[in-house]
Amino acid sequence: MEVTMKASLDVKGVSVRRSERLLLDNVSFTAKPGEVVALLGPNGAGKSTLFKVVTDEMPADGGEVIFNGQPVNSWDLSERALMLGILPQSSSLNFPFSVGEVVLLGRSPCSSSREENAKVVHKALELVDALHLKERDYTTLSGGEKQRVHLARVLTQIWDEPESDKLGPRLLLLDEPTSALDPAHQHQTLRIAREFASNNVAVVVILHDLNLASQYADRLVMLCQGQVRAEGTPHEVLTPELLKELLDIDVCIIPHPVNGYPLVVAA
Amino acid sequence: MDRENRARLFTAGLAVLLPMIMLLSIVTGAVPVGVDSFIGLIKSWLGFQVPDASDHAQAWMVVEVIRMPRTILGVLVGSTLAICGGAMQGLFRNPLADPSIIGVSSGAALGAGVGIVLTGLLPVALVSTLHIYTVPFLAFLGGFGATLLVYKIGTTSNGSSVATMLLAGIAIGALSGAGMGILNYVADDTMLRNLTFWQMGSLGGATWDQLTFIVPVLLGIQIALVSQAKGLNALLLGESEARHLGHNIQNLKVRLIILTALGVGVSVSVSGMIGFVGLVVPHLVRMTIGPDHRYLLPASALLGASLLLFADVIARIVISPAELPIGIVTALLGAPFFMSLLWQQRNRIG
Repeated sequence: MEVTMKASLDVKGVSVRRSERLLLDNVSFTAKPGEVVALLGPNGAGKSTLFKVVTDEMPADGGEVIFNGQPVNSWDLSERALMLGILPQSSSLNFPFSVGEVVLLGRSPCSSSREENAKVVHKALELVDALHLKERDYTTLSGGEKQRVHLARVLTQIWDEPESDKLGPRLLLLDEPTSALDPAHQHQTLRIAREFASNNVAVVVILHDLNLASQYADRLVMLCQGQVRAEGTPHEVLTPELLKELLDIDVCIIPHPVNGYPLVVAA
Repeated sequence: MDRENRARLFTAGLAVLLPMIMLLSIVTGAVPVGVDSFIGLIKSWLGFQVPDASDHAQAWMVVEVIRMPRTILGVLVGSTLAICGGAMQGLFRNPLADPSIIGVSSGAALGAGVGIVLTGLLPVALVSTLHIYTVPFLAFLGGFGATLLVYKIGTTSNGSSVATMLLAGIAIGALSGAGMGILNYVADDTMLRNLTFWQMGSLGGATWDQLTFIVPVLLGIQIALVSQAKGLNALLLGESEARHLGHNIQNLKVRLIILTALGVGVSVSVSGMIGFVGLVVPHLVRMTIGPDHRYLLPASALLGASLLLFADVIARIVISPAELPIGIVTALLGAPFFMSLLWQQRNRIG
């Protein structure tokens, strides 16, 4: 095995059963530092269940999730928090923190100085185009603004590579980070994911938009009825036959006129 | 001015306000005590000769035996109830949580009631020693059970629904009321008077003996709660988010439930049911300096102490020389406040 290509996240044969129903059936995939992996699939395919197992919110009935060489649920929580940033679909925060304070909460696992934290918060808000909201009451924001603020919070959490190298590379998990965003911010969010990937972070993102996945992800993992039904580069996964079979849509695939990645258009 | 500076300034202002209200509490009441007389007392404590000591003897006696312990008790109970309210709102992720509304106080009162009747049935010699510990302990158990129950019923992974939480509080209140009713039947006259007193709330029973037990316990609880501030802040984001930020949520929740139940239970056991302090105070503080618990909890403690003392002063003077139970005063002030909060939030309550 090549050391440099060691997976940061290694999901090994995970199964989840809820009263007779198999929500996840022997699901395996990996994510290496430097790559963006998109998790695709129809509603009810088990994406969110898989996300919960990977983020240690739900136990698996079979298989295991290895994060940087250790089962994800055996990590010391405060150490894990330095390398694992998780953006949930939505947040239930309903207390009137200012936006700056919400983002600053992301720095709480880190032992950096106040000045350093303030700097990171500033940069992260700038990155997600929310710096103008910094003093605003979080509870008065729109859904899309909240989503960007939480992205900034999660980014500040894993902003720097941890100094201790025994912890391993960082992992960013995003659960439908673009669901409430306008097109410009959808692209911006995925560009940020790419940027973090290029800084030696492994990124796993749940998406519904096939073209966004095609444009920004290195590999696509297609989940259907709790099973991984296809995995590979956008070119390998985004074929009319496969999409008809898995998502039940009739499509044509055309190459992007400039970048050449496959574009999915309705037939 | 940014929020941190405003929080410091606000807290400093409250820290100045509290001694002034303490002084007001010491000099107000049925027996007039002048400020100069109180200063004379402090001088005599410090070992200075006070020329007109004999003129002040009666006033000094009132201050030393009644007003001082009462004031200290008011400070402790007010600050504890306010801190517990603030922490509970963080735990439930719901700004409407309050020990008296969600049934924790009534659970604690039932525990205290059981304690009163039980110790009342014991021989007199045992009572005075046991009473100091048994009643607070049973009040804690009652409060703990109630908190646990409301938390289990009312809270899901998405926080707590106001409606479920309040309904659970009503159910627990009704259950405690029934328990209190039964206790009223078995109680004799003395116990009955004690029980009534507990249900209305009063700082009148304060003694130095009691304070030697209460002061370290309640101060300890307050310090312990303030030290959970960072965890509480993270918890406001949601349970899994707080976990992802490196907090052991299960431990944090257990600590918060035990500490708040202990704080409310001990407070209730010494002063009866005093409602709405835990709701009104953190809310006012949050409106001024925001929800960051590192500032919210200490500021709430200071404001809660001042507010409860002030309510006690009112309770003492409106029908002087008789006294109104302080629980009535706080309810008269707090219930309309609570209703206005419900009014504001009525669209959000599901």
